[in-house]
Amino acid sequence: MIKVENLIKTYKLGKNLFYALDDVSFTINDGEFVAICGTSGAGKSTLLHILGCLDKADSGKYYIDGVDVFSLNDSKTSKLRNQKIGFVLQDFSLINQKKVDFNVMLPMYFNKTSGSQMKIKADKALKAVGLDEQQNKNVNQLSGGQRQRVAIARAIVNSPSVIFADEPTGSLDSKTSQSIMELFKELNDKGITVIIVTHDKEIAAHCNRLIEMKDGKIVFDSKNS
Amino acid sequence: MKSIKLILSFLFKSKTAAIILVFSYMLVLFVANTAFASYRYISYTRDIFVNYNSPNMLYCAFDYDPSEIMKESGTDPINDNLNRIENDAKKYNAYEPFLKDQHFMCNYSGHQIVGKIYDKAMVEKYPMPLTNGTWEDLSDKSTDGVFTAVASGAQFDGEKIGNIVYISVNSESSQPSYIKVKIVGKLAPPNAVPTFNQSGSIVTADSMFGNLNGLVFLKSEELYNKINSISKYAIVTSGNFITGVSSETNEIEQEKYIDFLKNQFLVKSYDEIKLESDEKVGRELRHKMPVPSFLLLIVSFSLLSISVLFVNKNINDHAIYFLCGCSRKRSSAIVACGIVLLGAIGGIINIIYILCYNTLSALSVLNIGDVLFDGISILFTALYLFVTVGISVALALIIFRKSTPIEIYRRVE
Repeated sequence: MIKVENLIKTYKLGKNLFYALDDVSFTINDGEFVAICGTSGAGKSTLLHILGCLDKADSGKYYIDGVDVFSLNDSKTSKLRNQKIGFVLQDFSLINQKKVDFNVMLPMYFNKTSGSQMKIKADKALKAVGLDEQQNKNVNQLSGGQRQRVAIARAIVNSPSVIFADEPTGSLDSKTSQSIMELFKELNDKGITVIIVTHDKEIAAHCNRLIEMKDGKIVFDSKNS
Repeated sequence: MKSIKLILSFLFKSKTAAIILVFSYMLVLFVANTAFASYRYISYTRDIFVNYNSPNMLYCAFDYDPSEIMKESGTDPINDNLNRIENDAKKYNAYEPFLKDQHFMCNYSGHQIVGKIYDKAMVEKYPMPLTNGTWEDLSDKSTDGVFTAVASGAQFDGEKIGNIVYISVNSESSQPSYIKVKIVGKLAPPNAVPTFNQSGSIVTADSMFGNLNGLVFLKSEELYNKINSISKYAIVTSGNFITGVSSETNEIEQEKYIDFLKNQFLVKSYDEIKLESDEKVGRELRHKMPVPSFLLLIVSFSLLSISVLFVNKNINDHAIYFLCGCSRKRSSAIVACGIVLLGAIGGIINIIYILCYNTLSALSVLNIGDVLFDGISILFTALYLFVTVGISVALALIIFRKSTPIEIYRRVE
């Protein structure tokens, strides 16, 4: 379960203080499929970065499965990010010069998974996203849709509790976007919490819950309506 | 294993640059170490010579073609010629015995080595530093047919003081004959012993010594008889030698004796050799060291620049590692290890080269002339490695930590 309380994140712009997040609070239960929507500058990506333990808020509280994330040091936060969180980003964030299997195995380089187990888990993740024949290809030989599937395989390889996706279909055509969203739905059906940040209402329509943001605040939450 | 893969991944972002840098670093260190070792040998022999503090010493070298002497009959015509001249020299009051450089070739454990034969006075007046044992234990008398000797060179590394070894001397009948030898001492690196090969108008301390892979014996009738019984032609005498002027005579007598020697040989005094040695040390420093020093500077800056290049090339990858659960500390460690590896490979190979050089030289696998490789050479290499790699790692980490992963992701958005 994800719980945030009174999150505030600010940036200095010259003499002024810009509130990227202004007193944000909500709870996401296990197994939810959530879309966080808003226009550009609403604070969606800032919120995602904090939820994904890539960044810290200036104040407030954030709990994943009861753990106070902001009280953890860098090593423990990294461990949490490795074991409980999977990321899928708009630009795929893959190492293009490396093979597909290296990219998928990458999270396992930072935990205690043995070498033999790494291969097995990577193959299983690639099968789950429909790329079980592509292990030995270089990432730069794949199409956009295939690369996003590799990113999803990497995100699920450690069996995380939650997947955070930031505009996952932003670089893809509509048909490919559709297939990626169907893949997220399948993962959610298996019990993984999926949280997607998007400005696209059509993409958000695939999700069970909608949280709308504007100027750093939550202006609408379909759970409460 | 996983961390090693990530470290290699860091370096293989620019494989060519990494390989060129590793190779250059290794080569430049090799050149610098060799030049430094060569300079140190010259400086070391000069210091040994100066420490002898023997102002009455005279070095006498052939002033004529020795091949003329070799035409004479006898098993060692040069020695016979020197003995004749020495007999004439004894008429002078200022005479001091001729201390000659004699040797014979022999074999030990399948390797050819040199057996040096020195007068007792040579060993007493001009001893070389030992790592083990003492010159006092070197005797001109055998015990139960066992002769004593000081060992020199890496092939005796496995032998302890007191061990008895067998050396073989090839006889005229081509059947080797053995001499039993007890080791009573071991020479300190660079295993330099008096070797009087130098003739000419300039004589320096380093040319009066030579690297010895073999054994040092004291001259004795017993040893001569033993060797001659195997081969009459085994013992070879250098035509050059050292002598001295007796300090118990007056200047006129001393001048007469020196004039007698000058009629036969090129004569250099202790002070002249000391002066020429000092000049050579200065010359070597001015001529030998600037180029290697410059190359070391260049390769240091190369390591620094390429470290920064590697960091910039890998920064996006490390943002992805961060995404996958790699802590900043671990990322920094990967970067640091990668840069350490760039320098360490060349440094370690050089240290191995220094450690193995004496052995390889003893086995005639590698010979770069008279050099002094010891703990100081290793210390210099290690210190250079520590400083250059240390600065490169520090700079690389400063640049690496300036760009946080979240900033990279914001830039991408």
